[in-house]
Amino acid sequence: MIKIFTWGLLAVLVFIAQTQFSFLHNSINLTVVIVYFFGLRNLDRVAARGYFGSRSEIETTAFGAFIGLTEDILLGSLIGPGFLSKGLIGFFTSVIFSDVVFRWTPIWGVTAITAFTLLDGLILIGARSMFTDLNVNSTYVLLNVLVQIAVNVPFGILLKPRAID
Amino acid sequence: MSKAKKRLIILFSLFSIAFIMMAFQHNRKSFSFFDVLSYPFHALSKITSSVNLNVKTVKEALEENTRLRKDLTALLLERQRYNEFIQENKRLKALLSLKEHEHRYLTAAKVISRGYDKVLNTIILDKGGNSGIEKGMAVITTKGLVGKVHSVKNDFAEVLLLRDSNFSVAVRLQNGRREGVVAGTGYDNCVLKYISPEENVEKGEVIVTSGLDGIFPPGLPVGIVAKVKKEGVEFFQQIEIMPFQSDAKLEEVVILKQE
Repeated sequence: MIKIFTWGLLAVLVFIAQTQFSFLHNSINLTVVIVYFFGLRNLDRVAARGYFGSRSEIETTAFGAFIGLTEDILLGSLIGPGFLSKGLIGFFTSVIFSDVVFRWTPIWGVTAITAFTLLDGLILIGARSMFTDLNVNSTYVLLNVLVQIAVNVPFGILLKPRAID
Repeated sequence: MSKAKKRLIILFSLFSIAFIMMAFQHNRKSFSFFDVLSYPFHALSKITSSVNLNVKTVKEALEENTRLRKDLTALLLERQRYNEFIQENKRLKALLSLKEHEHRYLTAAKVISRGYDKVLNTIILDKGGNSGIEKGMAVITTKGLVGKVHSVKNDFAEVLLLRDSNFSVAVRLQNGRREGVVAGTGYDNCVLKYISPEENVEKGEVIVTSGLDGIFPPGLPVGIVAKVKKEGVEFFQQIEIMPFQSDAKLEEVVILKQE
C-alpha cells in the first residue's frame, strides 16, 4: 500500500513538474523516466519474492499504461498514445532487463531511456497523424523529442536497479 | 502457456485497447468524462502561468522603477544646477550694472560664510587686501547697503552688517530730506535716530545714505520706515527701519572705494 502511495505521489509530482518546467523552450517528458524507473525497481521486487514469468511484465505494462492514460486524460488531448507508449515502455523495460540484457549498466540505461523517449515521441506523432485532423509538424516534434532525450539521458545513468545499488 | 505467448497477449491487449480508444475518438466522440478530469490540471496551469506572469511583471516594474528613480534624481540635480546658474547669472548681471553706474566700484566678492565672531553680526568675503579691500569700505548690493568692511586679511575680509548694534550710517529721508543716523540693533530691524518729534515721518518712507559720514557715498538705499512712535518720547522720535538688503539672502556683494 505504501509502495502504491509512493509511486502515485511520485507520478503526481512528475506530472506537475512536466507541465511547469521546460528546457530550451521545449516541454520535458519525465513520465517516460518514471515508467522506466518503476520497471527497473519492480523487476527486483518481483524477482526477490520469487515470482517469475510474466508477472513483472504485466505489472510494469499496467503501471506504464495507467501513467500514460492519466497523462492523456490530464492533458486533455487524444487519449491513447500515452497509454500505448508508456505501456510499451513498461513492458520493454521488464523484458529487456530480464531476458535481453540480463545486467544493467549505465550504457544500457542511456540506450534504453533514449530508445523509450524516441518511441514515445514516434507513437505520439503516429497516433496524432492517424487519429486526429490536426497537422503534426513531424520535424518540430522530433526536435522536441531530441531535447527530451537530452533531458532524460542523465536519468538513464542515475536510475538503476536496486541490486546494482 | 509459454512466456512468448503471454508477452504476445500483453502486447496485443495493449495495442487493441489503445487503438480502440483512439479510433473511438477519431469518430468525433470524445470521452467527455475524462475532459472533466483535466479541468483541475488546466486550472493549475492557468494559476501558475498567471503567477509567473505577475512575478515577471512585478520584477520588470521594480527594475524600471529603480532606473526611473535614478534618472529622476539625476534630472532633478541637473535642473537644480541650471536654476542655480540662472539665479547666479541674474545676480552677476545686476552687479555688473552696478559696476557701470557706480564710479567708486572696487570689486565684487562672494559671501563664503557667516562671521566667526559670536558677538558681532558679520559675514566673510572671499576677497581681501590682495584685491584692494581696506577697512571701513562700504559694502553694497543692488538692493542697498549691506555694511562696511570691519577687518581685512590678504584673501578674506569681514563685513560688519547694517543690523549690528556697532554699526551706524548717516542717512537722509528721501522725501523729507531730513538727516539722521541709522544704527543697528542686533535684530532684523534698525533704528533711525535723531529725528525730532516735529518732523513728519511717514511709514514706508525710503531712507538713503547722506554721505555726510565720509564713509558711504550719498544716495545708497538703506531701508524703509517700518514703524514710527512719537507719543511719550522726550527728544527724538522712535523710528524703526526695515533694511532693503536682508543679510539672510546675501551671496555676492560689491565693495566701494573710499573717496
